[in-house]
Amino acid sequence: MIRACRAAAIGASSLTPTVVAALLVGTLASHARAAEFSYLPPGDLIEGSGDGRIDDHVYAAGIRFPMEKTPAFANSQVYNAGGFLGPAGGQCDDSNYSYPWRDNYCETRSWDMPLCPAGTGHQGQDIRAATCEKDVHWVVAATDGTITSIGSYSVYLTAADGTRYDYLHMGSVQVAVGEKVKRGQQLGRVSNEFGGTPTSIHLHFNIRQNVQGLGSVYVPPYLSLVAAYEVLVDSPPLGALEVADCTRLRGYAYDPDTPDLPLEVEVAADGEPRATVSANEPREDLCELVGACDHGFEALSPYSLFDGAAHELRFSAVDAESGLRHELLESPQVFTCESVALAGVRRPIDAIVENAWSFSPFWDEAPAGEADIVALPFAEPLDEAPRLVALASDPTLQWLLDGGARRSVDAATAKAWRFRASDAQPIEASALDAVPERAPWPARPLIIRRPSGEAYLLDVAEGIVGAGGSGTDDPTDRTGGGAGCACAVGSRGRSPSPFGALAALGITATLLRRRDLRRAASEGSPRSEPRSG
Amino acid sequence: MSDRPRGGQAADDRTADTVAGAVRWPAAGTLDRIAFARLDESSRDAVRTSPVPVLVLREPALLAVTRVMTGPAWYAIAAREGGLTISLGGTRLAHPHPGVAPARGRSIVRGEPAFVTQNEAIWSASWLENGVAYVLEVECDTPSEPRCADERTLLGLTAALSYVGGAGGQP
Repeated sequence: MIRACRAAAIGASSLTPTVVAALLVGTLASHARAAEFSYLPPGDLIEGSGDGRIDDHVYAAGIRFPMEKTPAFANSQVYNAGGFLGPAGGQCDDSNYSYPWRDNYCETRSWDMPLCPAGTGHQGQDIRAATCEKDVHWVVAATDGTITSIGSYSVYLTAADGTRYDYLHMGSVQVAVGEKVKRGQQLGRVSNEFGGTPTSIHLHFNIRQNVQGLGSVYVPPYLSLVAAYEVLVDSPPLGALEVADCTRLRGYAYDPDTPDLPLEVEVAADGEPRATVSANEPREDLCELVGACDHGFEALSPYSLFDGAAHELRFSAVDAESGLRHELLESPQVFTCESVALAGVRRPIDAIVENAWSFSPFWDEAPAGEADIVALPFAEPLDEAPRLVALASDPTLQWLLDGGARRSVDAATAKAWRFRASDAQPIEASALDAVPERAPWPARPLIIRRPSGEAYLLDVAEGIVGAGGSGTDDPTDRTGGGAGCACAVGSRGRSPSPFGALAALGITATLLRRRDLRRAASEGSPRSEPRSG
Repeated sequence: MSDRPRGGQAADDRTADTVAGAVRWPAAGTLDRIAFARLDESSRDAVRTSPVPVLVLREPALLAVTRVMTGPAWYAIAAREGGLTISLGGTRLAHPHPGVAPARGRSIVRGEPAFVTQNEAIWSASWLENGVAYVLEVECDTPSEPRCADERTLLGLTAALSYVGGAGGQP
């Protein structure tokens, strides 16, 4: 429904009317559905109807709920209103068409049922459709499979793993024996077929499995149905990819079921999942509409796709409950950006450094030709880990310590480099003044890699220690002062390092702490910034 | 049941949630070649590829309307004749469910313990044979008719099954 409303607009910078309408419809409908559904625990049968099986195991995980639409109501046909042993009232009594659901597997019957406490009992679960009308509501395949039998009131669907799903009392059967069906395919309609003598209007649903140690038996379907139904009533995440140009990727996403929680958005390029971003940035335009503001996302465009070719960028929000991916409105978009013009100096990095700085092949690494890379002058290797300091009296003023100098880092740069405010070590103004200041830290990381695997960070030439050496492949050769080096200053040994003053402030400790943090991040700690997938 | 598929069988049938049993193919001398010949061509082809030994209903009138189908680890038969719908099948994939205690059925089918039950007037018998879990079901178009009044029709059919082959035991 929402997909059909997808707009073709590219680069919209605010919520379009289509998006607003989809958000409103999705939000209102899903909240109502999700709020209503409830169920009693497995094995909690109607009093006097037998001993249920108290069992939290889901015997057929991941099935599709066997009715096409919600609501549906799982409860006994025999022991409820209109049933043979039920209270006064008809089968269409409102009480039969209301939550909570109630298990009726193992309800009193007289024949073998090895999984029932009594050794006998009802083999499946009775389910009523949204309304008490026959031949109206579609019944669908719980999984891909083969129709292996059709009787006068039964249809059997057998899955690849041998699990059989039995649909009883349907009308308007749409399938034939031997037919291969797909999950969700319509099989027939909820009815009351029972060999000429009607039963109540409902679907009787069994799951038959070859259970190890028993053989082929009817297993409890109740929790499998609950899980499937929760997926059905679960509202899909909503959102849109608003901008995908050569500067930035911007949009928003949220889950109507959990509007107060951030949502992960998967980024796929040319069909391959490459990264995730967290939709957790505040945006005022979302506050009123969504009911929570922190659902925006924005990332700098991925350098890895800067090659002049057209790439398909697809953004999908990941449902926190079901894990299913739902593509955002206005996704996919075609992304075409020219190659990055290389300028400045190259600073060697190795795998340890790449990990410590959290560089991402997807976001940070631009395609570059070998000749263009080797033509760039060298500068000293990048520090093993970033060392960030912030003015104690104003933490918004931050610098990165680099080769004995400090380089300013504004908020946008900090975000682009995935620095966190907590990463910065406070420093007094007097100590900071003792450290020479050089060119601001680059606005975002740009990694280039030779075919041999050697990787470099591209940095501005101005003020870089050891810059020079154009055309040489020896990163330790810092004697050069080639054309690419405009102003190499502060090289080691030429003057006393001001870093000594900083060491007393515990910068070394900061470095170690940063290493630990980066290591933890690389091992799977949650992140809130764009990262490679 | 074994926790390993037998050599030559498709090991990729096994999933994280299932265990493939080792099939014991019946001796070639037990093949019912006449019953096999009475199946239609499509069903005979299905028998030849079945991953488990195929049992069929021996009655010629039922063989004439029998449809044999196969899956990665199972076969199934559908037959509808004279007001009866008969479903028969077998699988070698078992589902290990913690918390489910092993048990044996109280009835005997083909010399094996069997569970016999009735589900919405549909009679079924299930048993283990040759490392395969078989189940036979009988549904009457009119549930109240005498053939579905008790289990005798069902048990009569289980006593009249023939082995017609499979991928591991060609006729």
